[in-house]
Parts: sequence; structure tokens; C-alpha cells
Amino acid sequence: MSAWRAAGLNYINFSNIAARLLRRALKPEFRAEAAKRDESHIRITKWADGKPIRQESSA
Amino acid sequence: MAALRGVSRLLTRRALNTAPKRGYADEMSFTFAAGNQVFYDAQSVRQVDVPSFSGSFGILPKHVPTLAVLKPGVVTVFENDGNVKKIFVSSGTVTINEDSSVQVLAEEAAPVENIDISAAREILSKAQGELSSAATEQARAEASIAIEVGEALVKAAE
Amino acid sequence: MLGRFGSLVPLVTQNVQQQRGMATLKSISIRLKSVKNIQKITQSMKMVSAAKYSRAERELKQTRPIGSGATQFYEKAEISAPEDLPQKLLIAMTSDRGLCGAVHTSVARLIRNELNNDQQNLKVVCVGDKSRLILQRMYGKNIIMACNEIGRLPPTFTDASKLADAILNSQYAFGSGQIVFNRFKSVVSYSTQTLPVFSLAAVKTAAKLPVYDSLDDEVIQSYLEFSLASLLYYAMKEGACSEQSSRMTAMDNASKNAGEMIDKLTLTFNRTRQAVITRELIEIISGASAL
Repeated sequence: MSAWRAAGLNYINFSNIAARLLRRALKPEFRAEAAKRDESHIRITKWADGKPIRQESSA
Repeated sequence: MAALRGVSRLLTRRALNTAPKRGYADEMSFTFAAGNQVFYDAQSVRQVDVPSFSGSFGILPKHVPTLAVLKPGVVTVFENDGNVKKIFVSSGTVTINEDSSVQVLAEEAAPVENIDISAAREILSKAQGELSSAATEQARAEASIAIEVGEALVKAAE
Repeated sequence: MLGRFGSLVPLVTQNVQQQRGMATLKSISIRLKSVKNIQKITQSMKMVSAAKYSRAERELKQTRPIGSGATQFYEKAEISAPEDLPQKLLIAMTSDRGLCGAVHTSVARLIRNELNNDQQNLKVVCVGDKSRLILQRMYGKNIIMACNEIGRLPPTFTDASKLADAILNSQYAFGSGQIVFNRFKSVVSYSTQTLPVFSLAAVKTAAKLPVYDSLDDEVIQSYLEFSLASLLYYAMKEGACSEQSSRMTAMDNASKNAGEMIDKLTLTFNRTRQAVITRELIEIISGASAL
């Protein structure tokens, strides 16, 4: 098993880290445009028994 | 050389004209799409080399069906007209189906010439610093991923 | 146009202070003004969504190969839902914003029909406030997760992977699932469709899996994790594009309706004004002839 999976990460987490670093390693003329793809605004709330659980998960 | 290539292209085109449905037994339909850009959409190519967790491997037409997970590195595409394209991928999946269709999906991808070597070196050294100062197991895992990516970036940019 | 009415209204009020015609004349002009304001708003909303739509469509073209690529394996390996794990997951792809026709309701309706058939083994993830608002009253207990802050900006892969990560970490063990979204067809049409999602267990029992070479569980697991993120990304893009195009059409219709209303109101306004003037003239003339 990969070290990152053993540490509780999944491939999505792995992929996020790798993609973010690739965007930062681009030549300056591409970097600004790429940096927009780093952003995420979505907010996720867990629900149970028909009510939201007051605690936001920020993955 | 160019003339020869022209002739060969003419020949293949004629061959295609006389037999438009050659079937995809000796051709592959290659799709390469990333979150930021589509590089190939069901195009026919000669060969594709991909970096995966179980080692890098080349895909030729009629490859045995398989799945693989990409690791950061360079995907090399040998196009039918002899051009070779090198594209760096962050991560993603490779699917090779029974009908010789190949899908490479990546979260982020960029031609290697768009990578800035000094930025890549900086990322690598920063990641090495993070690894030594990582306190939790998760932080350590994240830093070692960053090192893996950084090394691949530096190698690709050189 | 407006200026003329503006100068007209006080003049009329002055002259015919105690006549019943005045009240209607004034109320018509107030109504006319408000309808004109509404038309201005819907028109500018249309312009905004037209710009957003053209961007969404451009981005959608770049995303379609990802969507079709991610579904290929599911189709070609002929995976079906495992029988021993009847739990299903439905993911409703909507957004926070309304005023866009029936895009959100048609997604919610599809899910409601599924829930009507089987409430036990279905859980819902609501993406966007709209689907949550529609579903929470009747089926609140089936919602395990809700997302908002969607629809203001174009969705990114990072958004999709955050959602995929949250779904995978939700402790809900599902055998199979569906992403319910609106597939964009053209500016005037979309269709509500579903994309299948499978768990590791479902894939492992697939009939055609042995065809695929050298697979171990970790590869399949990573593969499925990434597939889920890419499918969600694709569905988000399709949804965003359908939503913007549908809003554009909705706002265009609203502007047209407002235009019709303005025409009718202007006509009534002019008629009423004419009637008031005629009446005044009659009064003056009959007053003069009485002398």
C-alpha cells in the first residue's frame, strides 16, 4: 500500500496536491490563468435526521 | 525525408479511401483530457507512454485491456505523422478497453515546455523542508507527495 | 418616453382634481413605470447570463471528453449494481440560484420519483441550495450531505474533488449510485439524465473484469476515486451550462412578456388620458353653452 494511503489520504487528495504543484511550476505567463483553477468555493455540510450538522468539513 | 513522408501519407490516405472501415484492430482511438485542456479526442496515434504507479509503460494498438493510475510524470504521445508530444500530467487515470480505445484522464496537464525549471526546483526544495518539519503522519505523507511531484517536475523540465 | 409621462402626470392632477379618472391615470402610470423597471432588470439579467452561458459552453466542450472517458470503463466492463448491497446514493446536481426555468425542479423531480419507490436504501447528496430546498421537507431524512456556494462561479475540478472526497469520507457504504444532472443539448433544450457511479464491491464482481489485466484492489480503488471526481466535474459543467442557457431563455421570455405588458399599459394610459380630456372639453363646452 502506498505511504499516503496508509496515512489516511486517498487518491483524490494525492491528485489535488500534484495538480496544485504543477500549476505553480508553470512558466509565469501561464501561472496566473492556472491559479484560478486552484480556487474552490463550494461549502459542504453534513446532514443527519433531516437537519444539517453544524460543523463544516473543509476537505 | 519530407518527400518520402508525403508519399507515405498519400499512400495511407489512398489506403484509407479504398478501405474506409479498417476497423480498429491495428489502430487505437486515443483520448487525452485534463481538467484544464483536451489534448486528444478519440484520435488515432501510434504509441503512448504513460507513467503509472506500477511503473511506466507504453501503449500500442491492441494492448491488453487494463486500468492504471497515473503518477506525476510525462506522457509521451507518438502521433501518426511522426510528431512526438511530451505532456506533463499531475495525476489521473488510464483506461485501455477491449476495443483498443485508450482514455487518459488527468486533473491537470501541461506541455513540458510550459514548465518553469526554477519554479520546479523551488517547489522541490520547499517540499523537502516541509518533510523535515512535518509533525503528523498526514503532513509527512503530503510532503512526500510534494517531493515526488517536485522531482518529476524538475526531471521533466531539464 | 419617461420624461413625457413625468411632465404630464402633475398637469393632469392639477386640472381634474376631483375626478375619478385621475386615480386610474396615476395608478396606470405607476404600474407602467414598475413594469419598465422589471423589464430593465430582466434584460440585464439576460445579458449577464448570455455572457456566462457562452463561457460555460466553451468550457463544457473541453469537459465532454472527460465525461465520456470516465464512463467508458463502466459501460465496457458491464458493471451492475451488486445485489447484496442495495444501498444507493443519488447525487443531485443543481445550484444555489433560481430564475432559470425548470432545470432544478426536473432534477429534484427525478430524485423524488426514485425516493417514492424506495425510501429505505436511498440517500441523497444535494449539490446546490435549490435541490435541498425542494427535497428537505418531504425527504429530509434521506439527505446525508448538502453543498452550497455553487453557481456563482464556474465549477472547477477542485470543487468536484472536494465533493468526491467528502462523499467517500461520508461513511455511507453504497453499492451503486447515480449522478442526476441536466445534460446540455442546445440553447433551448436540455435533458435530465443520470450517470452511474459504482463502489469497489460492485466493480469487483463485474462480469467482464477478468478481461482487464493485472489489477489489484488499490489500483481499482484509486481509479474509482478519481473517476468519481471526474464524473462529478463533468456533471457540474453540464449542469452549469444548462442552467445558464435556461436562465437566458427564461429572462428573454420575461423581457418579452414585460414588453407586451408595457404596450398594453401604454395604450390604456393614452386612452384614459384622452377620455379625461374629452370629458373636460364637454364640461367646458356645455358650461359655455349654458350661459
